[in-house]
Amino acid sequence: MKMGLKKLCSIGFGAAALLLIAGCGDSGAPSAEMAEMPASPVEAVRETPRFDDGMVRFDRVPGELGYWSNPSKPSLVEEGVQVSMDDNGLLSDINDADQVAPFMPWALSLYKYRQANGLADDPVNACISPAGPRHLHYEGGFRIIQDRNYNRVYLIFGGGNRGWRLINMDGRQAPDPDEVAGTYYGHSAGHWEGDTLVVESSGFNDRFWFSNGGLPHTPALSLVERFSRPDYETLEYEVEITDPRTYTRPWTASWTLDWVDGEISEKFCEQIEAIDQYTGNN
Amino acid sequence: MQIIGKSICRAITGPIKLSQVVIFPGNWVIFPMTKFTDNKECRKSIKMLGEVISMKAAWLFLLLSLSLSSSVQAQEGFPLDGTWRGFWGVPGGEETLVVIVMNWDGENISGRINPGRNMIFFEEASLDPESWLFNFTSTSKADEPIAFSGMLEDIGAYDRTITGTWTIGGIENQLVLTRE
Repeated sequence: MKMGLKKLCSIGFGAAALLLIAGCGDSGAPSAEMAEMPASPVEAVRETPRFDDGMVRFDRVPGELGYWSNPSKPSLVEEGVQVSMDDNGLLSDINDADQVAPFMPWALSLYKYRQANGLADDPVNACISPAGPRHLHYEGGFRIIQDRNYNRVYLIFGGGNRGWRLINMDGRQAPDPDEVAGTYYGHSAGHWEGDTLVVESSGFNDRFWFSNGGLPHTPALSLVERFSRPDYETLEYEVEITDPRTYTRPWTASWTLDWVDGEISEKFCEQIEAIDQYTGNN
Repeated sequence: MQIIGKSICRAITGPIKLSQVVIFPGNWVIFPMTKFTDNKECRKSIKMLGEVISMKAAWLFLLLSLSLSSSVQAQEGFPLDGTWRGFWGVPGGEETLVVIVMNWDGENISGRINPGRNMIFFEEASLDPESWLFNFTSTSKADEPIAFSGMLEDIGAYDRTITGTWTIGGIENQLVLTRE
């Protein structure tokens, strides 16, 4: 799944332009000393970009393009568990199902049902957007836009319905799930713990799948997500899932994503068959 | 006829998955709304029926298919949560409407039968996740014991069903509950 888009800076090749584009050079052509170095690629780790006041910048710096994509894992799986699945979260062996998360019996049975029928009931097939952590697995990529004037963070998504998610950074708390009308993206409140953006979310409906592979949830779902950018190219993501109507205890999953050059492509969910019918394509 | 049939086949071999049987009476068409694996199979089925599909019927069919497509695929959380409706009675006899609203709190399944002035509540309810067998007991306003036992079916569908036996006052009745 990884596309290997991390930039490698090959110092020995002496290509000044490459060095400049990849941000590995200082300010000009490589020195003669550098040009004599062995031609082995050296991975340069660019530092985490920051705003003037030192706050971590999760999006592009002025003058560049880019977004987050290429998740290191295909789906939500409890931290420390190793199971094999495809990019859609379909298990290679259905007998691994009970390892994926601490299911209640009904939830395990439903998860197995969804897996056994090849994820045919996935609501995204009817253009119902993925949501929750699944958005960070879903094709299309995403950006994290920090709107510091209004104390908000926006996650804008390339996949699903090309939607966006709002994270309020004004000190409010995530709501009690029983006291709000559930929505697809839930209600999110964020704060900083050092360089980590911590987002608490609740108030989801249960009309979507919150993971590839069809892990069940109920409106009691709440999430604590931690976003950090240890270097320029890497987003670390960790999520703690609590849903006392579906899982026997809170559990955690994590993965990383790559910073990818370019713009998010335009993608919308459409009824392909209906379009084919309209255009006459087979 | 072929063009219309082709269009219909395109509509029903893609993301739309239907299992119901719909009958268009009169000079329209009797068409089994089964899921076909490809257009060819679908067209062959239409041809075998040998019926003439009017343009009106074809468009009605298409609209019906598209309107159902979003509802039949949406699968949700706890499979009993929500509002269910059905009619209990003996075959050929009088049928009585029942509306049930169920909710899972993580430990118990609670239920309200016929919400409103004559509402009664579940006394006990259980769901076996291995077989999807669902049971509940209650007592009617006339102090008659009520027991229901049925199988949850087609759990991948928004409008899934529970088919079983509604026993009231010792008399067994058939009941199919459909989720709304």
